[in-house]
Amino acid sequence: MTNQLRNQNYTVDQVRAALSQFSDHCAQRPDQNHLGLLAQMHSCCEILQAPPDDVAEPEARAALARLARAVGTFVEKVILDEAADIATGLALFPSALAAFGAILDQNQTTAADELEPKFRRCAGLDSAAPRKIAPAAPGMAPPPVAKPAPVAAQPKAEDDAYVSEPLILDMDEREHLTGFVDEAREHMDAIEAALLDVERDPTDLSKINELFRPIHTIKGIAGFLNLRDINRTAHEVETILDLARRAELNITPTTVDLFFAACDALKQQIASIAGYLGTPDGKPVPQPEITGLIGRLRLAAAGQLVESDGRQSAKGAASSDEPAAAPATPGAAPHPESAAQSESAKQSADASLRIDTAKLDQLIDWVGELVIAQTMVNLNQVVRTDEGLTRNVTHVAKIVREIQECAMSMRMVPIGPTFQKMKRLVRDVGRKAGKDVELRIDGEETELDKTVIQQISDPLVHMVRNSVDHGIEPPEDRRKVGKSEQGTVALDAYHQGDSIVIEIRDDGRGLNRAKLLAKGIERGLVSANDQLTDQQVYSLIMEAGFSTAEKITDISGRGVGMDVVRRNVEQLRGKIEIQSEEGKGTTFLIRLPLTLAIIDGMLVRVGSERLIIPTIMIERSLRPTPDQIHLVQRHGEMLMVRGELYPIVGLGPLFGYTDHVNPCESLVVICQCEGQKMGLVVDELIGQQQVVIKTLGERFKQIRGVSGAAILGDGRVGLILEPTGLLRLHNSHQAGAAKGGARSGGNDGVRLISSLAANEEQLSTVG
Amino acid sequence: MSTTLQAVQPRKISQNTKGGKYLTFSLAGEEYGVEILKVREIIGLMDITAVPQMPHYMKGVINLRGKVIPVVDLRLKFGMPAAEYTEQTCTIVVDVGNLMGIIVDTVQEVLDIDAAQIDPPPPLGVAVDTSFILGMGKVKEQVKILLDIDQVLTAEELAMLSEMEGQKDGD
Repeated sequence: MTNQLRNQNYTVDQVRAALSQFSDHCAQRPDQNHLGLLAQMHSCCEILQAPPDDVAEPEARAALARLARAVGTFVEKVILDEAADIATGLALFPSALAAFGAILDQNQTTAADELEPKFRRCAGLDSAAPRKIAPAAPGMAPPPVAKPAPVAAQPKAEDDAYVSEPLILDMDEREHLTGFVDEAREHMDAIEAALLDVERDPTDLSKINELFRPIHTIKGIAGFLNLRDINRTAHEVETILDLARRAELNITPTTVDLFFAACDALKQQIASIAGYLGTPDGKPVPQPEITGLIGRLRLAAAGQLVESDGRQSAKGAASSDEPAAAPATPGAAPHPESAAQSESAKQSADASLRIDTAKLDQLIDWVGELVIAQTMVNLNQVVRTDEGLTRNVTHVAKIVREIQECAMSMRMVPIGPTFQKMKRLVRDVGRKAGKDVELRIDGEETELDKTVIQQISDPLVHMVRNSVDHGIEPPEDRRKVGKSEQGTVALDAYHQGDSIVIEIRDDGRGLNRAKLLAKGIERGLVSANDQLTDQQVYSLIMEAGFSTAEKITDISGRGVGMDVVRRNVEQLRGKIEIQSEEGKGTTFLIRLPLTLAIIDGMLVRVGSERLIIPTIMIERSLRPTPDQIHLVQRHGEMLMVRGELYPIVGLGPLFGYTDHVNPCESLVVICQCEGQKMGLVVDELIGQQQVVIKTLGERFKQIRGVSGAAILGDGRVGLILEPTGLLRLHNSHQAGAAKGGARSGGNDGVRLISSLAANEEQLSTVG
Repeated sequence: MSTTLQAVQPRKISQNTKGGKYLTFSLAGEEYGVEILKVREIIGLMDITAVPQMPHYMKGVINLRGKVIPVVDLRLKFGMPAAEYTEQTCTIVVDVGNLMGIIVDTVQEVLDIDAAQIDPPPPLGVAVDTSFILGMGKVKEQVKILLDIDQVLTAEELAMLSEMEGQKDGD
């Protein structure tokens, strides 16, 4: 059976170029240690194997392909250290070069015909049929060797186990290695995704091909860079895939598991190389043990791998029926489509450009400045008096807005790949827990800020794992309650208003409100008298260490790390909502801002300073009446609104901007953050506006209650408030005031600081 | 507070006591100089946004063409009495790893001071901290105190750190 997919015909020029390269390589007298050189020669042979129609007479062409294939196989064997007679083969290279020349220039095939069996012998293919069969050109008579003989294709798997050698990286090739690590990681993602597809339908040739390509690339580069373990692992996987796509071997669930193991090994190898590149010390790079893996892969290639359990082998048997039918379908059917796919993938790869994030951030910073500067111009009185100028300014404003949108969109990447990674996770966790769980993915094309994606990835892993591990019931429980045995976890991402929602939904057992509440009371997080909404009760699982201690069988484990998840999400200025119905399932909604660079804020005035409160945290604002204010121990003021009590935080005194003000004479903005609510006393609400966030830098890192700064329309700097920190500051401030006795004015914090500062200065003067 | 002591005590013998161009300015009648290479620009007084929980000499932050940078009142930093800001008051933007503004009474001139004209800081006893001082520049019978501006502003950072610790203790 010919495989047309790999069959890419080259042009005459390419063939000639390959031949001249080959001649150069030969001139360098390669031996088995010149792996890089050999890899290049192998590529040349691959080109020569698929000559175009017009390169020579058909017969000569076939001879060329045959010889090239034999030489290529030999080179590959040399690289893999499997060749039967390396020395003879290497010595034959010049004659092979001459034979190639004879075919191309004079249609002379005699030399080639003589040489081909020699190379095959040297490669160790003498009696057995080749393990690897290169594609035949269309229109070419099937070469005599192309008849595969699967039974004879058993490799010498058992006799010699693979022994890995210490890997010492050549730091001269550092650049290449770094490039390889980056590229390989991308390929690994593609491989895992393709592998999951193959697992779903092991008979789909186009999927196997999709898997083949990145593996082949990794193998090639690894060989080139002398990364033997990676090269060998990839090679063994490739061998199996090659057999599979020639329908000589069935991909069984066991094989797929083996592939996953190989993927993990490859990832580890790549990671350790990456680690070494970070801190090169000249010592061998630690590598995972792969002897067993290679052995199993070889067994699998030989079709001798034992299925691991009954269920799986049953599945394997079922799928093994299908490939038998596969050749009946026209072999070319899936090909055009996948060829087109790869074509379009190639195009989109060409049309994109890698940019340093720092540069992009700089651009966005400048665009932010442009927007502010533009606003300032707009507000200028002179502009309003001149009609022509107004028109021009409006025009510029429009362009500036477009630029801003464009710059912002550059940071946006689709969430698809992040979701795809969860597939593997669901599969692994599900297996470990003995559950059959399907992951459904929607909204893959939804775009998020790159930073957000990076930071949301870990929490997402956590939540998905939780859903599979704790949300979904074991199959027997599911059967008992009349659900299908297969559980479902669904991931979705979509826009809602000016935020992005990521949804993690499972159809498991749901949260048990009563148990959560009991646990919450036990831990002293809530009191039995509290009237809590469902939302509030569910939020308990996000309290630190909530479920780590006692065993609540129903929800055990849920909550481990959920506090970390919440913190991560809140760092991104997002929120988590939980919806749950007992017995039906749980849904987590992560609400995130569209971008991290801009926030919607409420500009407020406190004394002579202006501050920004993130709109997402504001619940409402009001001017309290005296009867709504309650004093606690003559210190803490509390505001009672509709039966809820909020601590009142006087921003002015807290920041040292003003003295204590009576909340009834000013405004109170009710904010909530991390489940805590508070009322912030401000003098005036100026209005809502979007601001570009600036960090305050290292120097102000320790400030509590302020998350950053923004440049306001008039060019002044406004501080952005962070309510959680504010509340903490307020509490310590209160404690300090209580300790210090009388609470006067409210300048305590400032005084505390200045006295400390003075103290410090004295000390440094002494020093 | 012991951290501060330890951090300030090991006095580095600065290698920068060589001659070169210095920007001079006055501060409560005293004349100071900073290496011109450290100076980014001189700007008039700008609107300063106060930042809470900061020592009193850290006046706050300003918007330097889109960059938010901290400003320090050098008079207060050196324990001198505060002064009204006038037309003469200037902010010198210096580069100490990151940009920072220092508020001074008046900026004077750029002087070329030879290494020969620079004396090491005299021992002034425990009353005066000389760790900020590169040397004393003698120019036409006048003495300019040449500041190690990195030291001035980094020490301030250390001070802030210990303050935060002190504050935490108070919690």
